[in-house]
Amino acid sequence: MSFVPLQGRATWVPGHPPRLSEVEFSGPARTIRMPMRGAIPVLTRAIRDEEAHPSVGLLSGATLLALKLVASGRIRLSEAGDSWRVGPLEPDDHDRLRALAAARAHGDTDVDAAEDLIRQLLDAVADTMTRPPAVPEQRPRSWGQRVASLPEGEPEEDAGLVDRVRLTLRIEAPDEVLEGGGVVVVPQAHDADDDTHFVDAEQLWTPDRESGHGFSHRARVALGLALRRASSAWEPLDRLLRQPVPDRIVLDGEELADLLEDGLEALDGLGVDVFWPRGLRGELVPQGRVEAMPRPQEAPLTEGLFGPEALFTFDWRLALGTDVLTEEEMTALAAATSPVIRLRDNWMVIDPGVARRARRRKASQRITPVQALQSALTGTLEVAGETVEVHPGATLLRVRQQIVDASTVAPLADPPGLRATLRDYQRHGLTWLAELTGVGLGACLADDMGLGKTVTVIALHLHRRARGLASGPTLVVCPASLMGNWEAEIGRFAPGVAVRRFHGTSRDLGGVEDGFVLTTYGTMRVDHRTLAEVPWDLVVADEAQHVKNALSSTARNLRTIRSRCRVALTGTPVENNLTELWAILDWATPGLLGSRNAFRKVWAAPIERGVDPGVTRRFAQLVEPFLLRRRKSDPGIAPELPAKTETDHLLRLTREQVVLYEALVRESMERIEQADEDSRRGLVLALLTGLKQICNHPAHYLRQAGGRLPGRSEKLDLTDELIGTILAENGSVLVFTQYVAMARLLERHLATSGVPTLFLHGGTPIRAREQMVRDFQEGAAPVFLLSLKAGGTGLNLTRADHVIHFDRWWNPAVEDQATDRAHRIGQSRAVQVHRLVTEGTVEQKVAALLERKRSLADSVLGAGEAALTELSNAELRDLVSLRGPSLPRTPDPPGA
Amino acid sequence: MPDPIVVPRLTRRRGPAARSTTWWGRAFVRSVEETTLEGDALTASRSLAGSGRLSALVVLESMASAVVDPGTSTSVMPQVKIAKLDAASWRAFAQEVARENGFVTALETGELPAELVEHADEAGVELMPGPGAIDTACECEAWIQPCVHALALLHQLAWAIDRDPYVLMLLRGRTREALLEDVATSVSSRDERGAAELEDARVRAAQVLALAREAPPGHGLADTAVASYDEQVSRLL
Repeated sequence: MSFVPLQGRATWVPGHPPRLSEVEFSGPARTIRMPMRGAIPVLTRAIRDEEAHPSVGLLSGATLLALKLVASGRIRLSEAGDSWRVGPLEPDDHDRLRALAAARAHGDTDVDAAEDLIRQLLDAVADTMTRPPAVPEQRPRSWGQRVASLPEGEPEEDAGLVDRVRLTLRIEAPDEVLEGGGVVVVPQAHDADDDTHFVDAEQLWTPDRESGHGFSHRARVALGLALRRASSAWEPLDRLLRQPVPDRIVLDGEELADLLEDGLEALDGLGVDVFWPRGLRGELVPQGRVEAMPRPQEAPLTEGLFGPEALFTFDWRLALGTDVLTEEEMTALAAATSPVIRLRDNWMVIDPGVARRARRRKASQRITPVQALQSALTGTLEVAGETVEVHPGATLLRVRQQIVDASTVAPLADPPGLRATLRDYQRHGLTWLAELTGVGLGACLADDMGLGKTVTVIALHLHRRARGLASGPTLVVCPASLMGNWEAEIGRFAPGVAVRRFHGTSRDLGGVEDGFVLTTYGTMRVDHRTLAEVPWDLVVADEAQHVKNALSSTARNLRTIRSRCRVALTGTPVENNLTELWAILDWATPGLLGSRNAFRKVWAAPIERGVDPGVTRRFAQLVEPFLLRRRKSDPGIAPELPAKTETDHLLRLTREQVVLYEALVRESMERIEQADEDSRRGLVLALLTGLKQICNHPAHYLRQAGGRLPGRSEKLDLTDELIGTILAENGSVLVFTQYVAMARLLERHLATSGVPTLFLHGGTPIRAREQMVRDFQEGAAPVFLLSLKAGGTGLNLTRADHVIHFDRWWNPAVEDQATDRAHRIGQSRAVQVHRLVTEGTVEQKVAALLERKRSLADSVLGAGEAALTELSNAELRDLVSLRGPSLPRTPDPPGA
Repeated sequence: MPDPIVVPRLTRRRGPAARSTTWWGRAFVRSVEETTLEGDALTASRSLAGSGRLSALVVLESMASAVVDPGTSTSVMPQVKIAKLDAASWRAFAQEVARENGFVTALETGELPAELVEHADEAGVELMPGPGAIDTACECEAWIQPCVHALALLHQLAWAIDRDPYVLMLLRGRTREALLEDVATSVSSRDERGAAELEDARVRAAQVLALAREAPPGHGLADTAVASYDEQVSRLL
């Protein structure tokens, strides 16, 4: 050993592992190749040999540096774990290493080569000095000890330690990992009974007595099982199972994207929560903006902002909170390949779905007026199946305000030509209708019956003309039984406005340019093509629940009739049935609520499931402006209502009734004219009774106990209509008729439609009467049929808020008495009185006679019908014959 | 001695149910089948194993036994002895288990991961006993071992191993608890691995440096000081 030549060149021979490297010393006489074990002693002393070759000096200096590093503990295992290396080096060490290389560089070994050589030698020395990592020594133990350390056999140690665990994953995001587009996942074990007690999974692999984490051995197995389940739900976690200890894994960009897209949901399904560092997951929310596009030329004002020609654009960007991203940031986001992006000086993890949307984004897209409206009202817009929060542009915002405020703004003055003073709430209704129709939107006025929807619409008709908004007539589609009422009210409140009926044999629309046209649902259904040819300004659907089934041909055909605006009227609370509400509002403002299917999916289904109150709120925001419903009991309404409202419903005879009526008049008058004084009186009374029965219902006069009832008398049909609305309002009604037979017919008819009734007549024993009154007052049945002169005094039926006089008493005092059964002084509810009168018949003529000659009537009719027997033949004929304009109507086809 | 594993007595078992359902159970059966050349004995033993005539099995370290027709005058007790793996092999096996925490989880749920057995094979540990590692004895008067009774016992062992690979471990000389402890030690020492060596190297390097400070000058040609220095240093390496 001591004969090693140092004056010659020494050559480094690297080996692997490094301890197998060698040094070849050369001298004039011989060359010796030495293993590290031999070379190290030589090189440690060669430093003192001033004559040593520079290559020896280099190796020598390096060896001493290596020993110093080893002595200060700077050694670590290689990656493979099979050998030792020097490291980790501190900055000082690097400096020393480079200084040594600079000092010892020589000949063809430059500084870099010297440094490289030094590094190799450092590792070789370290590996030589340190024994290979040993397999851990198994300390021998006796069986007793071993058994004592078993998880199951160690109650003392396990006492109080947690066995049952829940797995969660913590995301860590060190900058260097984020820069690579990924994140770190650290599994955590939670005490299944105490979520706040948790440790990194890694901790479970050290015994509790060393680290005091409080979890048992069994917890480790339990966590292992949880990890296995989690990795079968989301595959990349399998890598955790493949580590000795499942401490952490790094997810690359692709895996992270997969985690966000599917992994989180799959893990959530297993109850594995994933915790993200605060602020890492960028809550990027799409935010849209809708703007009205300037029109190419100034369109006529009457078209309204939401007319079919209106144009709107929609644009959206992502926003961080309220901070909308710039166009450049959107582009960067769309181009990102990993979910990790740098935004506003922060690292952020973006859902791949959001990035995809950013990629698909179109800068500015056209949307329909109805979509624009939806977005303005709800603050959201459905774009490609996804909801985007939207801020309306200035124009839209103004219109939105206009619509939302429509029912509360200062009311309009009563329009010129209206022969009535609107009540305050009616004026509000008019203002609301005017605002909505003014911007081209439809509306549904759903006030309780009796609040004056008809007069409000008449006022709207006049208002639109006064403002020059209207060009074209107004079409009213209503049940046949309501046509008379419309005509009467138009004549009363807007005298001079043309009214024509498009119904029965009169179906002439020639020269119609203004005023009202009245038609029935049945006629409209059959003749919608003719109706569609008229350029209507306004189409009104009265009792719009008739079109609640959007698939019926009535509803479909109604949609084909175009107009500038549409108003639906209904007295039933449509807002309670989403599908009916959709049908009515979608007619009034087509497309507002989306297609039927879309409506079911977007609104109806989520609302009925009741999962997200936000959906219900947004729906209310969307619908509210288009639906105005006031109840009689509303605080603002009730004081304005008169205690008693009386409405005469003018009805026509059906063809069947006309034939019966005219035949009876012809036959009876002949006999009366030939009769003597005594028999004349009886004949007149019989005639009057017969005619009144015919007016009530053919079945009444013909004494038919069975057979079909609907469609043969408008009185019956209107009664159906009224009772339907009253039931929908939760109200109750007294129906008076003079005739027990008619009351029986009504009882039978209402029973077939499932309406519970009570029936009181002159033959009802006193005790039974009292029971019936109690039943009615307690709400046992909503309809009380009474056939009793004066309704029987002493009957207190204040529960009723409606009274229907099915036929006339020809004696106001008797009618008032009957009405007073329901209307009592001090009763809080207003009572509506409906009098059913057939036009052009003896009923109406006697009523007109009463109106004209009140005083006469009092004297003449105080004695009742008997006084009529005193009339002359001519007077009588005039009174009973059917008068001109009342043309018989053909019965509506069933289902109208 | 550790507690034996007692496998409860089986009621009758026939048809497909009598086949091993796991790869390790089938591997064990293959070894069993290779211990005999008599096909008839194999068939007979399989039906005996499934006949319900065997008592509960008692499995001890590297040993198992049962009684055929217990309580009768013809009862016999076959015994099986499986060669133990030595301590070094078990240490190496524990290290393989410790490489992936998922292995313990699998074992604990009654699975023997094929990957684990392959890794162990590569490390020179054959967990699966070959035919040569299986020895049998019986009270019956058969000429040839394994007899039908011993083969029936081996078949039942295969079924027990199907359900719980720790039965196989015990037959190879390691209880579940001892194995898990070895694994735990192996895992928890992974960070400390080499710590002793490192400390040792540090001390010796410091000693070498101390010597080097006083190193003798000279070329070392026939220099006793140099020779003695070299010797002292190499002793420290």
